[in-house]
Amino acid sequence: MRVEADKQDVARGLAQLVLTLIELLRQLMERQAIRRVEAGGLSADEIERLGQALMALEQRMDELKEDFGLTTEDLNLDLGPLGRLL
Amino acid sequence: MIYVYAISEPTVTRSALKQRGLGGATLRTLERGDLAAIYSHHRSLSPAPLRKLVLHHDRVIKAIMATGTVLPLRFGTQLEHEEQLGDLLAARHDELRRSLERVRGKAELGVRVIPAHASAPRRRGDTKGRDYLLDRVRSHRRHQQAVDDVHAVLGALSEASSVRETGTAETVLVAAYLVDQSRVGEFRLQAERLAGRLPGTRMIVTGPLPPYSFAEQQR
Repeated sequence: MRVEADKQDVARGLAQLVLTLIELLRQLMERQAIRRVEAGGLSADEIERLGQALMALEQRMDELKEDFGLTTEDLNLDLGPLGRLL
Repeated sequence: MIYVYAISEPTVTRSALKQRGLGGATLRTLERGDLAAIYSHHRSLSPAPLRKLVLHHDRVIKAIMATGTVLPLRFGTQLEHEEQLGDLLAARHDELRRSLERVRGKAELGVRVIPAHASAPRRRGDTKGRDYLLDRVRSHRRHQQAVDDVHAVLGALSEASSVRETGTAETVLVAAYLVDQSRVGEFRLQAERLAGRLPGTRMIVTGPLPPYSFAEQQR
């Protein structure tokens, strides 16, 4: 039915958008963590905890992508003249 | 309405008009002094970016480029009628002449550097946080170094460069280089050599192409 299909499209489109934003944040956080490590001054404990947090984030993203049947490519929205989001 | 392919010079465009435009339309040229635009008439044409149409657009531009200097327009540039096109050439004359001079005798080469093992799993069940993070740092450094190396080597062989993307998860670098036609061979050779020296990455070079990335006014 047309209405059902539209609802599914909307849900999938929304999931795509939300997950893309989460992935964007994850990448930003990863970059920030890398900068902090390179800047130095982090204790071994802090590095371990940062790494664990990033790993957990990445794992959660993989789970979410699988739940919604989306690949990394699906999340790389093309914003035309602004380039790709990721 | 009219579909516009490129801006060039009167002497050049006259000989390039044997090509057919989109949908088999006749190519026409509109001249205003030392500028000329190449376009075709259409009753209605909303070019969705279908591969065939884009390739056709590119073929027309390459045919013009074979006979002289060309400023390629983006795929899908349409105007209502010739008068608007004439006004455009007049209003932006100086800027367009500067752009023509900038790309004269040069071609564009595209360089794309991507991680070689993008889809490899970055963690297993027993990976420690420290190892994971330090691996990410190493990877980031390698990619940064690759970008610097590419700029140093290929930038030296180019008149200009334009970076489209860098430092994302999927790409290390996507850039365009404006290269004098006499140096295209050397550029490709150096790029090939460079590709072998960048660990953990793959490089794809495209071109020589019409100067799509350098047609507009540089800031």
